[in-house]
Amino acid sequence: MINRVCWALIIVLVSAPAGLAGASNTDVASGAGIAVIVNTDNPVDQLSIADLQRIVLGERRSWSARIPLVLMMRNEGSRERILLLQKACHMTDAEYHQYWTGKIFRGDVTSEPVALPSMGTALNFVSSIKGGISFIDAASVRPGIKVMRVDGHLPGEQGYPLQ
Amino acid sequence: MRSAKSAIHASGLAVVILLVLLLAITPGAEAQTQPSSETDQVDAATLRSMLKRIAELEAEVKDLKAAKTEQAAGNSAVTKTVQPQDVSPAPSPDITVSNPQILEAQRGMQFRGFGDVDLQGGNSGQSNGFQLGIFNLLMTSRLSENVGFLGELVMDVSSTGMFQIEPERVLLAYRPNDYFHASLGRYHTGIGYYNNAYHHGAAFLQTATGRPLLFAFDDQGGVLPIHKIGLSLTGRIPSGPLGLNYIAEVGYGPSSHMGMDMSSSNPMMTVTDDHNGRAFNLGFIARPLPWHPAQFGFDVYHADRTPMGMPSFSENIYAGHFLYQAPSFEFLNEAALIRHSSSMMGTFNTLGFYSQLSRKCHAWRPFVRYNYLNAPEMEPIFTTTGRQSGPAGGLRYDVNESVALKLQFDHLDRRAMSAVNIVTMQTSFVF
Repeated sequence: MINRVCWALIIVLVSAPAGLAGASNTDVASGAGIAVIVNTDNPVDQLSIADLQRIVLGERRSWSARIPLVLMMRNEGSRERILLLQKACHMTDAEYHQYWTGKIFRGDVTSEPVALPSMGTALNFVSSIKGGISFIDAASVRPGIKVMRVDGHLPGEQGYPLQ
Repeated sequence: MRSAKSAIHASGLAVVILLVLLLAITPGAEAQTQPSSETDQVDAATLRSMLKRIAELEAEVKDLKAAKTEQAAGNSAVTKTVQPQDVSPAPSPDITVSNPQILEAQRGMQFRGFGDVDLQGGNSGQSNGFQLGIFNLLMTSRLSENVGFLGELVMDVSSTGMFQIEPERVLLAYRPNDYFHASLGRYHTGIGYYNNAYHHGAAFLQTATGRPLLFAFDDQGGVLPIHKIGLSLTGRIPSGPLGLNYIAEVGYGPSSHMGMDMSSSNPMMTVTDDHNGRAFNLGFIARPLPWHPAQFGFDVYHADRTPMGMPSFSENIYAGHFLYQAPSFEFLNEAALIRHSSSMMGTFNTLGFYSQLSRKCHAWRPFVRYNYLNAPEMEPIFTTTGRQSGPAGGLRYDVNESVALKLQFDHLDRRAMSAVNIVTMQTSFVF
């Protein structure tokens, strides 16, 4: 009897439609998309969406052996953060927060990434920190920072994954 | 009709004015307008930094307004393609104050707490009713750019009803880059996935109410060495899309002399091993990019154990895992073979595995797990383990991102003993 119940539960879990997950159903008006910005001295010019996911999830923490990666997320509830988490990590803000709680608990990191309150602050910090990376609305890109290609595309181009 | 509406509006306005007047003359409101003694003590340095910050923010607003004007005058943003690298000079913002703020935000001691309260019923032999789970206090601190500290104090109730406090992890970590991460101190061994992913008091983080049988804590009849004191090295191996990682650990193995530690009922080594013997663990983990978030891993562990009044045993553990863990879907599979060899007593193989499947449906997450653990009858170290196997299933509900409710049913068949059925309701939280 118990085994039958367990098998029934397994079948239900495997066959449930993916739409029930609710992790990536948030509808965020994307506009020009989200630009991934880094310092102009950063030797890396492009990332794959998988690389970006590893960066946002704190799995990749250096650009090279000598340049530490400083991840600067946008503050909770911001459009850039929601869209980035949705497109790159298939996560909600709450899931992302829970993910970092687990990461801190495992001893992988000592704290969550810094959350920047505005695009101006993100631009300022990225332009001043060599290994910095942050995310702003593509329409607000200004001189003094480098915009990363993601999967070979820039914001505004067809196929750019963060829009 | 219109006159009636305007009368209602007028009376509403009068009530609002009356409330504002009442609030203005209440003592509380008066007290708020008076400068407190604490406010008087704000030093000049704080005021200077606040003024500087205001100036920064004003400059930022000015920049944003200018950018907005440029944007309005320029091309449509949606169709514009951003240049990959703009070498024009930066607008030289004043970042001398803000940069340390960012770094300081990650320094300093940070505390987090985990805990759970369980309501349990069944025929396991334990008392039915409410039980206080583990209360875990986690401390982390970033000491410098590459050095961090982690301390974990666990408070729980022993079988005798006494509270006990134990430092489960004390780690000094050095991480200069992704390829090299060294941790020194007391840590969870890197055997398999579950042991290092879910520590003491991690009820909130794990899907089910407890750990799989294979990864039960050593003071709860577990068969794997959960802790070690020593050095752990981890890092990435440059391997492109294969996503290879290594783990190499050397530490003191578990004590075999149960009961020698008089400070608590915990038979696990707390300070050093009785024979000062070392244990080694070497493992590789692959996270192939094309199959993200799948993970494969394999570990080999070796230690020498000397149970009281028995000859020395060589302990070799071979563990492997495959898991797929996305936010909405979780499929964990791990197996381990524990081999105890002695020239005098022969070889004993203990096999264990578990498989866990869960799927998130909004705030709900139903899950099912199968446990299996089989130690030979004459096993000299796992004398009470025997064979245990059976399914478990349940439902988790995330009240919010800090509180979870779980309901779980466990069924366990045991060799030469009656089966165990347990129902557990758990409230777990993080703060």
